[in-house]
Amino acid sequence: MGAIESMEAPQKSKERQPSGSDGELILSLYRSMVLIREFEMKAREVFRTGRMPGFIHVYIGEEAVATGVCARLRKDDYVASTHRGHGHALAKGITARAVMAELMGAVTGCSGGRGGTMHLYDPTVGFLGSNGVVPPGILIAAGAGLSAKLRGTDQVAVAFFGDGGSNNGAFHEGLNMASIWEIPVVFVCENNLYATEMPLAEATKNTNVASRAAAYGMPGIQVDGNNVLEVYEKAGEAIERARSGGGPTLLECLTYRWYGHHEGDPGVAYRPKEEIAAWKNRDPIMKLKNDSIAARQITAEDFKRVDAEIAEVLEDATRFALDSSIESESTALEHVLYSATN
Amino acid sequence: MPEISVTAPSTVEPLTKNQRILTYAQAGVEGVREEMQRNPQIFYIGQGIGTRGGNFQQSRGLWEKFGGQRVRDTPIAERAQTGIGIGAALAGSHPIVDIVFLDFTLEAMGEIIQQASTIHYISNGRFKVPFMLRAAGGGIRSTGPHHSHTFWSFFAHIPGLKVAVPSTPYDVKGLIKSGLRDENPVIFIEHKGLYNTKGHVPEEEYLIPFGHARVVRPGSDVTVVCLGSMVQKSIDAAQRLEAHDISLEVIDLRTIAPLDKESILTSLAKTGRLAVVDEAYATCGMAAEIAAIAATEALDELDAPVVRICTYPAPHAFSPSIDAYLVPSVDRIVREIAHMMGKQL
Amino acid sequence: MNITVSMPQLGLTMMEGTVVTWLKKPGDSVKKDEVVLVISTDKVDMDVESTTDGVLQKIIVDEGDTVPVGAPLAYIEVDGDEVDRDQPVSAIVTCSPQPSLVDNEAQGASFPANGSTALHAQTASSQFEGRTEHASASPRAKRRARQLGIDITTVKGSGPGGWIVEEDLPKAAAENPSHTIGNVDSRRQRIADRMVESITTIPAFSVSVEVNAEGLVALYESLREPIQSVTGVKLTYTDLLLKALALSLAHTPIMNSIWRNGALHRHPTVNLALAVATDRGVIAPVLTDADLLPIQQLVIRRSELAEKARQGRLALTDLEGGIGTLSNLGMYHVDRFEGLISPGQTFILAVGKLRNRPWVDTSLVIKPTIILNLSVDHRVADGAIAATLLERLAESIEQSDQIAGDFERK
Repeated sequence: MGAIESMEAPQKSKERQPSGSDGELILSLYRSMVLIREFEMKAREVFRTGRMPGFIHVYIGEEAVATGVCARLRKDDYVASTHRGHGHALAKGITARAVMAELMGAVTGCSGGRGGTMHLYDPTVGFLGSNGVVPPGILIAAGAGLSAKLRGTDQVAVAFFGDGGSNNGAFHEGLNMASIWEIPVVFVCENNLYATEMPLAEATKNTNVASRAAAYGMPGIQVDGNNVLEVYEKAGEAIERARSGGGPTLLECLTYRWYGHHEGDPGVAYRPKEEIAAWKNRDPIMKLKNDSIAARQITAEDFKRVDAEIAEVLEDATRFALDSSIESESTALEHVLYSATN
Repeated sequence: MPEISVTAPSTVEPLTKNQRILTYAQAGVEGVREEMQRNPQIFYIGQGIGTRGGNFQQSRGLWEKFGGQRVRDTPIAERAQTGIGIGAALAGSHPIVDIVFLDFTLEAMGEIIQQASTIHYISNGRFKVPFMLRAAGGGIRSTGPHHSHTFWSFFAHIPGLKVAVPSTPYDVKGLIKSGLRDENPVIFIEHKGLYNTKGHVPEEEYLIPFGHARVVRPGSDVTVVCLGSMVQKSIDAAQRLEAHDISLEVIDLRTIAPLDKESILTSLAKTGRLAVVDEAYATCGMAAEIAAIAATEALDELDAPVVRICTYPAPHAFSPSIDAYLVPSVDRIVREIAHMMGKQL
Repeated sequence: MNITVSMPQLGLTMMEGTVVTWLKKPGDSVKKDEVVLVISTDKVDMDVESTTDGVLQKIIVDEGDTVPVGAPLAYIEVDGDEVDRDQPVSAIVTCSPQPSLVDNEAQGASFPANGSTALHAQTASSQFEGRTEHASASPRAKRRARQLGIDITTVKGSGPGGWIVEEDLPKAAAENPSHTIGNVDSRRQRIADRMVESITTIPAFSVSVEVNAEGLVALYESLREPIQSVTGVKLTYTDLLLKALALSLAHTPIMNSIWRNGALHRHPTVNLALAVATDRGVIAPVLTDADLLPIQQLVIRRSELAEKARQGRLALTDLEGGIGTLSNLGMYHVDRFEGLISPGQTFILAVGKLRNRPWVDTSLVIKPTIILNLSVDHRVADGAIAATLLERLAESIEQSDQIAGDFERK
């Protein structure tokens, strides 16, 4: 098994800087993050009108993680997601229309309105579901990876989970089994320092999640989750390792959510205002934009063009979702069981 | 985990010459082997099911035949075994997850009920979950409180799961083959006390569809619905009651989800009396469900109240005398059915 | 939605009916007012028509089976909006009667539909049939009891704890012959029931007299043509006898009473039943206020009822309310006979052939005479009263002046 890599808090000198040939890559990463950001902002807006059923957990602030990881995945690679899954879904390739419609419970949603925010599914892009439980995604992704291995393909699976999930039995059992069987899976821990309102420091004595990889004999890597290029690089390594038969990796991404656990939780009761402000200053989108403009790779106009494009996409997706019809109760008993004659 | 030895065999179908006799365990192995040969996507994971061949010899020979990729021993991690199995099913494999003891499926209930049973529905049919969970339930010779559970009704209660409870070698093979051709989550619950029982198992290919009970013994006075180890006990009771002019129609459910309601109601229309014999508890179990079906759909057929002959409500005791008292015996079945007919035996 | 066709209530005292023939089978379309089945009650057959267009879905009661009034017989499916399931819809079915079948040999034993007190009281609504608090019986047994028309409270239970089970029922039906069972023709059975009821519950005695019918003959001759021209109907001797009997009865009010539940109940009007022979047997429609009807109206009414009887179009109301029956077998070679009183009535007047017989007055002469036999319920009247009525009747016939009343005649 590989050595454990761990990193201290990222320093400027170790940061990856944009360079000339990365222009296209940067714009596509930017595009993905802005799509997620604007989508989540829009979702909050619609939610506040009272028209959205259930409740949502927005990904705002963490865009770099989903973007950086999924940019390294093929369409036929698998992703298992969490309750905070809109970012993963969009980054993996589910359309904004399909996700927004699903949040509205409409028939045009990616799960036909039957799943909602925490049960987004799309087999065409390998999206094995966001999940209402913490953290079965770990096991589902490991299972998909095992299937790929048995079938002899080079598909890879990624499990997203949070710092909260890292203290759950499924984490232990799943990582252990993935390592003994050398399953092609990457376990991505989105450490945003809080599990609902419980700070990580109170939930565990060992807050270095990446270091737990040692217990399973697999590589553990910690990255600045708000530097999309860094995520992109390290995720790329882990995914390649899996794809080439090198087994699983635990990738811990340090990040932060701007808002509460779910819409309705202001997120300030258990987090210091200064902390929130500090992390907002490390906005991953602004960072990429500013760094790229400073390195003279992309112009402000290029970014503005992407902004305008995304605004239109969201405009369209929201209209589409609000106009779509809700599932009729006449189908209520369909799909309980699969039948070949359906 | 200690080896559990089982008692001498008893038969449900009469054995005649020129029949091919297999044990209940062997019949299961044969069914799994045939299906694994037929479908390369089927793989088998569990504790001790590889080179050891399974605690009950329920996977004997599979590792030798299919190798360590498709037949894998796991650490003691029922939740991961099950969750990983489900993930593999979503990605196009057809795993058999052998939890060996029904009791330990409790460690994996979240994966079974929250994930496996729901995904086809909540994905609007976009994902299938072709996944079999195999385990042995019921008690035998003081297996005790953690190795004797009978909560098959928990699974029957959940929409989106299919549940089999075979009682004979013939049924095990036919049902496990059907289960492995079904692209739904199947909970396949064998009975550990029946693994060494013997019966006729045809060599040629046959499938038993889910949702078809079997009338083991036709009769005219009382419809006796049973499953698992209670089938042979009900047959024994029927033989004894014949001497008292009481004729039982014994129906083996074979699967409880889907449940073959029609066979039960047809029989009830004939006899007017219904007894359900189930090793599980009476409260909220299959016996309660079947009694409710009779009350709802065949009230006017009933010539007597429905009787549930089940394990008394206490944990499964180690003490052999207490265990024998708690679990329905042939004597108790005879007594309670005679009482339904107004006789004291 | 489904419309239920139920056993209709036809007539005040109808308790149950028997399905005779289904004219439609499941799957057949049905039109409003179209006859769906024929039922019989007592000895009257009735058509049962549909109140709606639709398709006959399911037949619940088979031919030959007897069920209480109100019991569902079939369902008709009607296109239309969904009905609230908590309020089941049930059609009120219209009916018209058919000729009945009563045993020809039960001479004079014509029974109107009312008055059968031996049938066990049963509620009109069949779904509560048998589900009394008094019987501890299985649902299966209760269902069988409903099908047999048996009051389950009369059944002895052989099940555990005295529970009545299905097996207990056929035994009970055999011990209770007033209920129809199995393959016996139900109409015949009902007649048999009534005969036995009459014989066993009504203490009857009879008084008879041979009456000089000269006056009656003369009256008949004088009325024949005028009645014919006024009413268009042929006058019969029976008309004259009916009138005579009605007038006599009006003067003997004690005889216009019925014994019921231990008490005498006087009838406010004089209603007489008349036995009519039809090709399906005898039936006895009732002439209401027979004493008050002018002769020409009585003739018309009699004629109407007789015609309806022969055509099988009597309504149950035509058969109810009579205090006694007049049965005339004079068209046969019967000098005298004794009838059986219909349960629910007080007497029966049996009339024989009007013919020439030896008559002794001061000397032996030949005169037309008619022999009357009056059978009376002894609970209502003693011999003297019966004799009084008979005497008045005889006088009425001999003098015959009252019979025609104010009617203009030659």
